[in-house]
Amino acid sequence: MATQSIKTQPISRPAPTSVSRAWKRFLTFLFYFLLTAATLIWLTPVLAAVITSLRTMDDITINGFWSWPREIVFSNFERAWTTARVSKYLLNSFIITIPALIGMLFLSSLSAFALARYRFRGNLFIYFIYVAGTMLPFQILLLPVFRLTNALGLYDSYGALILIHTTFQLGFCTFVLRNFMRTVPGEIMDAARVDGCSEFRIYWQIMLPLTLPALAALATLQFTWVFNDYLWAIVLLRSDVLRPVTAGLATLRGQFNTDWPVITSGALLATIPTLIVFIFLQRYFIQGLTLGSGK
Amino acid sequence: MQQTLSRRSTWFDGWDFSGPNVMALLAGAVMLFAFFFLPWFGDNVSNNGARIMVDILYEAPGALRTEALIWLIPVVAVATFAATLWGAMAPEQARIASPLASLLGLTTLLYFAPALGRAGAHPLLTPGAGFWTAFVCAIAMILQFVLAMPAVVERSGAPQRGVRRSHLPQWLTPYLFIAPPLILYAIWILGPTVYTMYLSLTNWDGVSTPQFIGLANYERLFMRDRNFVESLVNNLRWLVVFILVPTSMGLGLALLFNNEMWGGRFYKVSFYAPLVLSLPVIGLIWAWLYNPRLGLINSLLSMMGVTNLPGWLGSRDLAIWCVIAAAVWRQVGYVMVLYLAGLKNVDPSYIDAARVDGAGRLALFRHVVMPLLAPVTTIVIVISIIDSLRAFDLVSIMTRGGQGTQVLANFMYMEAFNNYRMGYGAAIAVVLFAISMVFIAFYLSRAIRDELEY
Repeated sequence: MATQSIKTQPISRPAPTSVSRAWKRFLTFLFYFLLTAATLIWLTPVLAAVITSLRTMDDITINGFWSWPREIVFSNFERAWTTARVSKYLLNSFIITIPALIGMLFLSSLSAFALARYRFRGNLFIYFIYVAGTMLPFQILLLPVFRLTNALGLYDSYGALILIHTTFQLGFCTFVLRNFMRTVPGEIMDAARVDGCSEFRIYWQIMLPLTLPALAALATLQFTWVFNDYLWAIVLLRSDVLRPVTAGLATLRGQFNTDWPVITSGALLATIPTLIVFIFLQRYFIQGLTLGSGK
Repeated sequence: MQQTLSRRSTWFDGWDFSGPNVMALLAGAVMLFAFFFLPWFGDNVSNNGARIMVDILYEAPGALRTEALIWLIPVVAVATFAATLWGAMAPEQARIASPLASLLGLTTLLYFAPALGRAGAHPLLTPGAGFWTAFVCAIAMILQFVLAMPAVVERSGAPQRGVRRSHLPQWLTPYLFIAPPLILYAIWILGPTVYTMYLSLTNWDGVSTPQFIGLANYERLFMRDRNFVESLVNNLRWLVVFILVPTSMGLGLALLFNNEMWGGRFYKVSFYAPLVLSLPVIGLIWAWLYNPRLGLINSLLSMMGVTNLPGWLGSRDLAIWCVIAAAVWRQVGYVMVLYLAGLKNVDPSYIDAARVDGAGRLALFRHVVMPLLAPVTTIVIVISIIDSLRAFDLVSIMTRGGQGTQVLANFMYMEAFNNYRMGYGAAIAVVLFAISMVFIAFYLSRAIRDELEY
């Protein structure tokens, strides 16, 4: 599109002769060949994981990784799913992610609406507190949050993780939504106000529907972030049965120490939910990534 | 019309109607607070309302089983909150919202009744402070029904549409919106940030009460701890690589894929696909690639006839670079997406103008495209720095901080949660925070400048 021709040839070029055309075709071919090779190398870790998960450890030990698989087996996935309890871990991940997602989107849309649409004392200050909060290293929060959850009796429960994810991501969500809400023309709201619409209804019935694209993008992005969190899961949970899949994988590694096919199967299974989100909501995912920096 | 306008002059005037509303609003808020933050049944803190609710909802093993309907309380509290907020902000709705809130209060009371009756029957059912708070709140909501009813009946005869008569003062509206998230944020994020700084001056071990020991933790950290120096150096390596490699690779790929080309989408997706994988998954997969005997890399090398195989994650010199490589693999796609979005916003006319002026490809890139992408570059660099300081998952999964791969984040985690030197861990966290703060401040100063111009 915009910079389309940065890589293409300059415009003022002598009329192509057959030699230069053949040369050009060769160059094009070479370019695609190299690009495909680079892409394959880039994806090697993933491909290697897929291949490993379909073989048996004995096969790999005896014949080496770079050999033709003796047989394709799916038993590794089965073992990861049931024996290593990846199914349970995945369920836990959903139980934690979905309430956190709803909570953070609702709460952040409240604060974003106030920050974007009202002039009041401390508006910018509060906004910048949220912005700064998004960049904090988690380590600064670990110990007090650990203590707080203990004091509230929430330690080692889903509730602790749901609460910390909701609040930590409030900063980023508020930042994104506030900037999005500022782009909504104010006339709509003024018109509603003249008609006697209450402020809460303006938020609920006018602003939120208009913010849906940003909410969808944020939800997609935050789903992968919360789903993929590891640190909070190992800090705030002790029971293995409550662990989300990221922390469960660490357990799995200890359990199946050298059985790499099972470990990679578990890792691949753990990726499926985010992969589905990525495939079907890719547009929103990319929008979400760029929303925070698009300004 | 005139009458209503003159009546608006004091917001106290509205009390005959919004008073009950405000009361129910307060009651709902207190109820919610009591539910989450005060011990619910009995004296044991772990029997907290939220905990019991979550345990019952998800049938967690080892759950505390009390009343199965406990989830009614927060639902009722939130609904009350919403209904009364609605009523308080739009008085013409109050005649719906106010009885609704009372109805919700009644439901809660119905829930409480059996719990009260069987107080002695079950060890967990000894009503605690949270219970009584919520109980009183529920009664308050019923009372407000009695208080509000005459007003409701009176008003419902003559609906006054088109006239805005908010009984809340105007200046309060934004604060009402911002209060619930900000309070949560203050409790879980802002408070802890400050509290860690205090903890870093104590010798807390996670169990006993923290005791103030001044700067001893920092003295030990800066003067006597080799692990700290190692972590700092590794973080620095991580940071330098993260600024240089993903940024340049991401930019290059973005420039490449910005052209329309055959199958461009496929290549693009392939390069940012690693972004979907969680860091523990990446750590596991790469640890398998690096496996010294059977891993993909070493078995390829031995097939090629290399005899002196490197140990990768097992070797002190290589391990940290191996971990960083895995991190870079993920980061490149992220940077590429950001640059692609930036390139989309570049106005093509600038490029055409430069081309007409006879700018070569390199000049075009250096003097036109790069300056236009400068804001994106700033953000990419800030993100890279923040991410490299946060580096934890990969190190924790791949090496557990061994083989000279310690980074500040993992060092802090291990000191605090493996060695139970929580005060010392807090000191490390504060150092990490201080380093991040330099970059956060830099970013904020730019953001503030933009905001003030805007």
